[in-house]
Amino acid sequence: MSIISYTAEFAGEIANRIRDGSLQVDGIMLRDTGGKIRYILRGFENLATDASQFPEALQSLQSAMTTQQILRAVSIAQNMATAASIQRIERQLEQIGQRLNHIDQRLVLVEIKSSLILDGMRSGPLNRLKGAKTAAIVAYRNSDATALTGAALSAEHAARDILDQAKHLVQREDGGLPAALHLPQELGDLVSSAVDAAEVASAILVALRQPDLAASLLKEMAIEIKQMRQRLAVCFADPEFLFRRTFLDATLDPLQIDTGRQLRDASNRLEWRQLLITLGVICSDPQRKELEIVSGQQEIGFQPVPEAFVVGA
Amino acid sequence: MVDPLLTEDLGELLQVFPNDALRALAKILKDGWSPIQFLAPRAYAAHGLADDADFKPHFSEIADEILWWGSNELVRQSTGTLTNWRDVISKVAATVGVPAAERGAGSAVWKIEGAVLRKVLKNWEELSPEDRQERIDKAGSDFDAARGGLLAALGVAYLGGDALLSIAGARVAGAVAAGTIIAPVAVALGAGWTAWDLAGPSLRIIRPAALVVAFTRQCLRDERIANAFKD
Repeated sequence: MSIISYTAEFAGEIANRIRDGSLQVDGIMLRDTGGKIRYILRGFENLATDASQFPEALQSLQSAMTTQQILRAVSIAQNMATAASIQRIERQLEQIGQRLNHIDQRLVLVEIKSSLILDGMRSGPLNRLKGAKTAAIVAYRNSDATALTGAALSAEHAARDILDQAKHLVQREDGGLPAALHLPQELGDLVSSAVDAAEVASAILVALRQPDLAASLLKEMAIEIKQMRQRLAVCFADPEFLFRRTFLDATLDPLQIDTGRQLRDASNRLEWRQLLITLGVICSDPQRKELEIVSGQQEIGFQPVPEAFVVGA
Repeated sequence: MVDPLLTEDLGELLQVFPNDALRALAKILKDGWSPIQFLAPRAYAAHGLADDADFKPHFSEIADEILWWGSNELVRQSTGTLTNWRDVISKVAATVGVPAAERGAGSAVWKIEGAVLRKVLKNWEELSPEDRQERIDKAGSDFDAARGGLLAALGVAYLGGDALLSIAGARVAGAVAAGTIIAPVAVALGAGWTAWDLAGPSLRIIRPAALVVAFTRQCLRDERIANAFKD
């Protein structure tokens, strides 16, 4: 797919649109006013994380994007460039394990564990994920497509299981409001874990050269998280719920806000990854050392998103 | 740093209130009359402002005057010291029938405000349509002071508390105009509590003011969280 170099003439128009607000910078994505992703910023992973070391040639872009926006794009691009490594997956699995264990402990403290989620439902997905990851690496290096497909299914199942538990917290009511509003941290941890698990599952699918399946899993989960966010936003915005909201613990307000941001980041992450896989930016590693790689881009530029692949609000 | 929306300090809280809520509070204060000479300056600058004026620079004077009305007792008059918002809201909670367990020293101020809000909404729902109308009539022109007389036009007297708040919320974008909408309701309810008015003039003022403060704080908190979940 062609990339518009930021030094090209058309790049000036894009920069103007960023300046006048008709394109908004969202990490490494440029969204239109309707929230749809129109361009991806490419080549940022090669920039320094220190603004004083930006190349002189970047000046024209700096007139459209703030230094903070550029640094955030650099950070995300660098993160994306290493997202596919086996080491990264190991770390993700560790984080998922820690989060799920904490949830277990906290639910015991609030004495609602048994009524909310059955014992073992959280450890199940984690064990499945760990098994899937190990099986995937062995199968991938041995070119065993059948075993790799089994690992992909297992990882996908685990991701959906964790997300289902998050949905359960949102759907189950307590005092006329979703139980999640009493347990914001648990909801945030479950959703973040589901997204991490979905990334692992999609990496195995990419390794299987099934980017469409990977993208469709990510899209589906992004939509489900958006629906959760909408339902929770309505619970706080709808005057019909005001009476019930007066019972909520105000000391949880900062956690509610953090969880809102966490869910927003989660759906964004899934949406971005879906797009990058669809566009072939994330693809299987031809050397079969990793499950997937991010195709390098030496020059800074804007990659247009074809209308058929446009995602977003 | 204390979250301004969870603070116990009325001045800090009013500093983050929208203009409409401050205007509603200023109107409640302006209409108050006391036979006792004021020891502290009233928020005259805010009383004299036009409806579309900027009330935000006067948040501190408005807070002080509310506390003055809440301090309207002989002992406090003699000492000249103002009470604090916790005392005021606790007093209001007691007079509207909030159980002692929900307004004790261990309860956070926002929690006591929530209990007042719930109690008042229930009181309103328990009234017959005739009683509601009578109270609205007693509140006089205050309903006309609401933006475009919306609530009166919608037949607010015949609505229950939840429905009333639904309209109040739905008619405005977020919490911005919440104070303007709830203030007349608060005054209407206040006018019905004449039995307690004999205890002193301050309750006539601090009850509706407390309801506006409680309602606006809740709306601002809710709006802040709702925004975090939105795109």
